[in-house]
Amino acid sequence: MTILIADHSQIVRLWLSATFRNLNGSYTIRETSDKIKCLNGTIKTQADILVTSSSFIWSGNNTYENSLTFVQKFPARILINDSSAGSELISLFNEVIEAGDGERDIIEKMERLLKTIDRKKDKEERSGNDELSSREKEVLRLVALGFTNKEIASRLFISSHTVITHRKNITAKLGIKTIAGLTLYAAINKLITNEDISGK
Amino acid sequence: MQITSNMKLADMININYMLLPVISRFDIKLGCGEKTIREVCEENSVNTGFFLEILNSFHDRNYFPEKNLQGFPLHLITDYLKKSHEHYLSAKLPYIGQLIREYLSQMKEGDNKLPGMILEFFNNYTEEIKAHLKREDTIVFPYVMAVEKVFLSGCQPDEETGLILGNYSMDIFISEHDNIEDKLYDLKNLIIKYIPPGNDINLTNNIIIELFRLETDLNDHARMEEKVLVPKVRYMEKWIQNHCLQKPIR
Repeated sequence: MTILIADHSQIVRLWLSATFRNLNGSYTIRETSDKIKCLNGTIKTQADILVTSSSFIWSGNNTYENSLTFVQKFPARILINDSSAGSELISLFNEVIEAGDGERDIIEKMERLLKTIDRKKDKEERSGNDELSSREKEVLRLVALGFTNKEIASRLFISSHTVITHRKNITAKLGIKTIAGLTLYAAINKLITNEDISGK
Repeated sequence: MQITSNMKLADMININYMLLPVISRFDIKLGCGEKTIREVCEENSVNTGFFLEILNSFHDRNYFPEKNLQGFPLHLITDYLKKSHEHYLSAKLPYIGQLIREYLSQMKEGDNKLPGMILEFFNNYTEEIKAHLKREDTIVFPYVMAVEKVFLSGCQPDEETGLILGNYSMDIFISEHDNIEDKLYDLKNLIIKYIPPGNDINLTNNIIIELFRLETDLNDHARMEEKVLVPKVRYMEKWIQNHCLQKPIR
């Protein structure tokens, strides 16, 4: 699982990185401070969890709407509330780190979020008739269209590791191993269209 | 229960008729009357011990005497594998292809290209298997026989064997040995679970049964190659490396 820390302050990024390294489990921690490059896609920012601050989101001109769009691409998000974020912004985040929070509070909030992610994953895996979750259907669609794991990760703003996990779950649920087999399944279930098929 | 040489061939078939294709790989024909397995083998110049080990491995998948099988002469193993290839290419695949084309012709074309896609899937798969088996027939088996020749003659490679030995090895074989059963597994599950059923239930069932059989057969085939052929030849390669060559085999 990958955590992306997006903030202008190097001190904040370093400190958060160090704090997150104390989490149980192994996580890839990435940092960025270049907002423009994040928004225009110059920097590839695939991650499962985004940790960013309200000041980072407010920064720059005419990029507020774009910032929100950027934030929403991440499946899980933590906000560092360092400049009185409004309720609209806060509502987009799973957890909020306040100014007075110490290391323990931050770890607690992150672990709470991780538990929610795990529970959601378990629920998807146990769902009714082993049906594919909507995320899995997205991944399957891209596999059937011929994209590599890396390309899929980039398009869905998740890590390659997560793509591989999704693919393993898809194979376990459907009982289909090969790309050719998955493509047939996708065609049968109308996850890809006739135009997609003839285009291949 | 174990199959033994004193059993009548006919009784063995009654115990497990799925062994019929395996018997054919030894060019043994039916109409065997009351003959025992030993008698049938002797009449057909088949190595009785090897025949029994193969039959028992197919009969009980938990029985796989790797060391015993490795002890047999290499040509028995490669002849058996080659005969299996012939069976897949000239009998099994064409037959399944026929059933599938029949099955697809009954499918309504509708507004999707499904029948065409399924046929393409199966045709691509057939080409894959053909290429895989051809590579084994034309490169792997001649190579292993050449290795044995050098091994048995105590480091006497003639020009031809020298050329073969330089270009291939069991390591290369293992690295290129892909799972040709995976697409079969997929097709089987697609037909069972996801493809809208046609009107001819018996045809659909036949196809699924044939796919299961071929998948099992290919699994066993791969097991023979990986657990019997490869270790046996690797042993010889190592011996040659230590006793015959100045530089290691690639």
